[in-house]
Amino acid sequence: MKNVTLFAVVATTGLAVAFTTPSKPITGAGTGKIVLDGAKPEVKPLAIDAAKFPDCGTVDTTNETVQVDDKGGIANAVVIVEVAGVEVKAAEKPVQLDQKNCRFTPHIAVVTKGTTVEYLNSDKTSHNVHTFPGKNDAINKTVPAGGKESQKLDKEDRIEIKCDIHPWMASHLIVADSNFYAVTGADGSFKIEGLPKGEHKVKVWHEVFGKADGKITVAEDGSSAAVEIKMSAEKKKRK
Amino acid sequence: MADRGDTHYSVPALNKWFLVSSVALFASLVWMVIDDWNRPWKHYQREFEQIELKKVRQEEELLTQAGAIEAEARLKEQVAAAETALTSRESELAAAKEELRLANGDLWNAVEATKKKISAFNWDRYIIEEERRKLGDLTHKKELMDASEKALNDAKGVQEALQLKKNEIESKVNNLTRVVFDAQASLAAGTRDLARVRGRLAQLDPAAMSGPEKLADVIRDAPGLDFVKPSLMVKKVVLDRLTFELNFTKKKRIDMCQTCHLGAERAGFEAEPQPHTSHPRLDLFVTNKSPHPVNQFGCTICHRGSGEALDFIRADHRPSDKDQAAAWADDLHWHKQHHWDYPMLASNFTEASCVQCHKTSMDLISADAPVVSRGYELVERYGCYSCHKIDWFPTKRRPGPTLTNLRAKLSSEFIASWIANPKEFRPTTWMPQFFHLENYAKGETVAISKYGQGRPIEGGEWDDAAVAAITAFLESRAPVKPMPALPVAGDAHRGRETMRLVGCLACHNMAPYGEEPSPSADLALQRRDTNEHGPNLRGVATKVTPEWLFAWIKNPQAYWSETRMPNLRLSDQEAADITAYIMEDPDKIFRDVKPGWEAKSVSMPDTQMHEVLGEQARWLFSRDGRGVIEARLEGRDDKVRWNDIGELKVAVGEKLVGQYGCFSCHEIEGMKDWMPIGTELTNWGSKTIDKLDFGPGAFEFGLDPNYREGWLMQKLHAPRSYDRKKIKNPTERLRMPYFAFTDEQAQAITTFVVGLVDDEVQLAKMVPTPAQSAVDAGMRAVRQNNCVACHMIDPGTVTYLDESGAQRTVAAEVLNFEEQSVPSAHSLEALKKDAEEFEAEEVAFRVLRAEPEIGAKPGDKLFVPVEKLVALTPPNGGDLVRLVADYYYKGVEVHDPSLGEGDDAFRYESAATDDGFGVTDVDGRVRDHSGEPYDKVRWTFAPPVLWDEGAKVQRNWFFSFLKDVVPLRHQVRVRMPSFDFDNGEAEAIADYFAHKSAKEWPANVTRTWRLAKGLTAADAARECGVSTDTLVEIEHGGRAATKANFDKIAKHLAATKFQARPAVDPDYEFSTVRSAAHLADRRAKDEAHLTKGEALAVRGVNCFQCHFRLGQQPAADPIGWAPDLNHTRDRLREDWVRDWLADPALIYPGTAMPANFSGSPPQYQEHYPNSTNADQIQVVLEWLYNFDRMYIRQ
Repeated sequence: MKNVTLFAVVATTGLAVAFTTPSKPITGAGTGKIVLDGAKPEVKPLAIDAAKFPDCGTVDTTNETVQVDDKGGIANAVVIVEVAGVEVKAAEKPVQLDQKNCRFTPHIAVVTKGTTVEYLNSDKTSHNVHTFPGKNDAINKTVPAGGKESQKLDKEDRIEIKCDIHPWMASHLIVADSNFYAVTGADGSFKIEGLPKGEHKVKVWHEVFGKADGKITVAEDGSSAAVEIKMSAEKKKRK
Repeated sequence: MADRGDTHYSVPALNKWFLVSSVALFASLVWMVIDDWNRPWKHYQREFEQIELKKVRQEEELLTQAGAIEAEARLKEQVAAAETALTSRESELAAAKEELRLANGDLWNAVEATKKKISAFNWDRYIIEEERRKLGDLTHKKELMDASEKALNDAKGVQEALQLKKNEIESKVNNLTRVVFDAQASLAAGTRDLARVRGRLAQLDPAAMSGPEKLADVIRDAPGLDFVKPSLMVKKVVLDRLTFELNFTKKKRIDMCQTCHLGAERAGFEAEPQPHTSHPRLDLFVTNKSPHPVNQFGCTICHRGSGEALDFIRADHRPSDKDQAAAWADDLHWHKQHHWDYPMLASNFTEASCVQCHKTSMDLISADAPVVSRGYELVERYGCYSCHKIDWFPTKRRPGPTLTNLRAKLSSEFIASWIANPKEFRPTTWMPQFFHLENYAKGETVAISKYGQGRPIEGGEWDDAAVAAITAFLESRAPVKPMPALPVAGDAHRGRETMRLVGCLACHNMAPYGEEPSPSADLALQRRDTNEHGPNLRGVATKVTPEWLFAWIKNPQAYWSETRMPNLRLSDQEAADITAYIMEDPDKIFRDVKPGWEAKSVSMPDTQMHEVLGEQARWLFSRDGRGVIEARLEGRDDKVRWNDIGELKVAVGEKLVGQYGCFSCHEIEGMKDWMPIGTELTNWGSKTIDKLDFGPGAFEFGLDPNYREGWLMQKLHAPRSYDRKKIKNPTERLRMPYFAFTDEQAQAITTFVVGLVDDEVQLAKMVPTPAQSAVDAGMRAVRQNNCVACHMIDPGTVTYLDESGAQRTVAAEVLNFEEQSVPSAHSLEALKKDAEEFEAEEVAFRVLRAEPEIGAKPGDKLFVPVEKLVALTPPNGGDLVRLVADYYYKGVEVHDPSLGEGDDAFRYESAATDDGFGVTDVDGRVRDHSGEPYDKVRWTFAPPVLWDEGAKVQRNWFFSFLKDVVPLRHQVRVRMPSFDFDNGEAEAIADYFAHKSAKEWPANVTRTWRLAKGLTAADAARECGVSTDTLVEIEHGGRAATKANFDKIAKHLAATKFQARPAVDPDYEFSTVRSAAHLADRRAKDEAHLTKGEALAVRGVNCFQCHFRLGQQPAADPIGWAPDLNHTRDRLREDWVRDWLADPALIYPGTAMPANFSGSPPQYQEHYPNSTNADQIQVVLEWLYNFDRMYIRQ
């Protein structure tokens, strides 16, 4: 579900980018898959005593941190393609991050630099939005039931977002310095439209498996071969 | 004259001799006068003039480059233009002036007329009132009286009208001339620096002087004439109040040091060579603005030396080290002055002089006098004061543990090995080594037994026997009391976690032996100031019994009433778990002893032991007489049977304990009131050098031994060295033990002890204000109880160069390169190395205080290019925070070389027993928090920061909390210990934080206001009516933050409607919203204000999702818990809560508490219609402070 919403956001932004590119050079779609190199770690569902939080409705206890399918495809990995010489455009409309049934939706979101993000609360209970950014300003504000907070994100960053009231709620917001990005689907695959021809560097990030690099090449005719990027199953070094 | 031939000498020859000798005499006279006139100080003064001239010229050059000349020309043109403008209106001005002259005349006439009318009226009234009194008719001649009064009023009216007219004309004149005045004023203001430079140049620059001026200077300074008004003069200060003793009389100090040290009182000469250098601390000394101005204190009161000498050698300068001494001897023919009792202190010992006036506030001055304060702390930590009396020393407790019950803790073997050399077991122990030192060296004869008739007894066996005797004696004074068995079985795995989390490792470390730093990143294995507060725990399981350990950690005071170890209120289970962890030692820490170390009794055959101890008895009991001693030794005495080795050991042991003074540091049964054995140090620094026994020893440490400082350094490093090459009997030998001080420690202690001088300066002594006394006592209590191990009480700072090249210092924490929300503890070198590793060009910081200079508020990020970094100062305190956080992220790092090399040799263990990872929360469940952001873990589970704590909590609450700890944050495993504070100590700490915040407060408020307004310091200062320097100093918490100055600013802030927290008054408990008057007033305006507050808090924000409510636990897991709101009204200051509700992140950047009332437009209108954010905060505040009325009393 969440990934579908996210794809909608990504696709819309991608389309917007494609349409606003003035002269129309040959572009292609980069496709690929992010797979796990090593044994799939065991994850337990979130331990939430739903009876204690009647206002949350039915809380989804899926642990979204590690979602790997049988073939090793990693969902919820962020793929960003670095393309030189293309102006980075902020989304025209604010991107929304909702708190619904006491979970953040989507779990992972990517926006371009300069985009305004709206933090919503669709629940009957109040939440807070507590961000832990690297470069952007941190905020920690209560969002009452049905309320809204917004923030413009100007710097390339990786922001962890928590609700302190419901400690299991967590989300990551990536502020990309590139128009070309995607969040992998349930099978670990991604598709990024509108890439100019040439060889581009691909950066992959996952909240548990850390970072990985790759390359994607768009040929003269706009075609490109699907790439497979491996991420090490070893947990990233603890802080 | 012709030679008459009747003399035996030739007159012409004699004349020649006369001529020659008179020429020679005259020449020598001239030479004498010139030599007397040409003093070295004149040479220095001329040199200084040249230096100053160079500087002033440079300054002129800089001003010229900065366009000062053009600016001056421009301003002059403006003056000229204004004058021309005025000239063009000269006729107008003349007319106005004439008008003014006439108006003045008219006014004068009117004033005179009024005066006459007043007299007339007074006279009339007198007459009429007299008549009325006689007639008894109060209306008599009413018309006449009214007419007279009217005439007076009319005259006054005329005068007033004329006055107004005159004012009007005057302002017209002023308006005409103002342009010129204004232009002249801005010329003066704009060329102030230039004028100063030119004025100075006119005095200094030979090129600027006319011939006659130069000649005049030569004549003024000429020999024989220079008593009138020379240009080169001796500069002196006469200090009536400060005397010194010279041949049994008190003499005023006259300090002429500044005759040569002309640059000492002026900034800007820091880089010049001596004697021209600026004093390094002009903020503290010499200048009139400083607390120690030279005209009140002089120089020699601190530096010592001979103030009246005008010559380098006679002033008794002293070199800092041997190299400097050699250099001085070469260049300046320096040698020591032997006839002067107060040699100058070498510059590295100058801080010694702080002690004479600041005895009552040694902690207060610790930041400004780091060396002597360090000495003072070391004297306290190593317990020097307990053997060597220092009558004013604030600490009186015995520094060593009680020995009255030591058999419950230690085995005989351990006691013997420990006494023989404690540092063999624990190299970092403060207990010094008493035995096997150089004056009892192995192989060296200590005594020939049996009054010189027996065999020589050598030092090794002498001391071995002494150790055995002391052991036997101490055991005889500590009866065996069996310790109760542990009530529950412990679990080592749980114990490890408990030990990490409750806070044991705040004061104790477990660092491996040896100098090399531990390869592990585990903070518990690294030595820091804070975690050396208690002993290193390595090897401790080989020392104590489990039963003792359990009882000790449950309640340390029960075993040793004076211990600094606080009570952590451990449950039986927790204490048993920790005991199991230490005794079972799964991590190979607590049974790890130094290679080769083993607890063992002294092994010596009984016959030899009897022989050696018998000899010691002969010396130690010599007063009893030979016959008695021999009878006892041979068993012929009925009562004292020293033929029994056990009895002999105890008897000799008791004497030895008395001789070495063990009872000074340790409580020993039967010796509790004995007097300390060491030399009194109260005024040791005044002891003249001839009273010190230098001995023939070699001086391998520090300075020339003929200094007090040198003597003491040697004594501290090699305490028995003054016995070298001497023949002394065993009772006379030196007894001072060996502490293994580092050079830095020895120098600090020496500085302190040299500063302990006779009280000669009563009149200049610092008398601390009540606030200063409170801060001093509080700082001492905070230091002695190691509060900073857990609590950060001041944030660290970063100093860097900004884009304009200006140096800035900002309160901030370094953020990690990998995860930028994680603060890391870095030194500048480590930071630069990390930046290289991560290929980072800039370092991220989080600002922790309002910094108007750079326009940053708390929580803002600051990015500094690596090459622009100048300095980092670490935060004051909070080491345990990182250790606790590390446990939440990676558990315990266990070094296991069998796993591999380097980083591979570590494994991580956590509370979770299966493959997972986790920490046991307070509810007993194991959860993995390692995915949480660092800020979340830090603010939720680690000890709180206490910066600005005095502004946060009520002083009386703080006092009672320290006396009787109540858990506030139920989610934390780390525990605020119960310290068993007496009232004085708890008061000192509470007052210290209150005063600290009161001092910070003007600085904070001023900074915040300026930041909010976006003003420059100069503009802000002008608005407030203080000088820019004053404002800047206030913002930095400097001495200018006087009440008068701050009142000016506060008044202005109030006028601009800036909401500033009122000052922290330590004696004032702050809550207005609880008062009956306030509630009545509020009820009249808004009946439902408390229910609105409740609705907002409970239904709007829903505070109880996180906060406890009268002990009732919130729904979330412990990581989401927050303190009970019922504590608010007794604990927190209302003004602080108001700020906190408005924006918590401005107070604690990163805290989990969100900003609830910052919506734009304001939220929660359904709970409080038409309310602003401030309205909402007000009602919630009222609800919080009337919590008892809402929920408890009903």
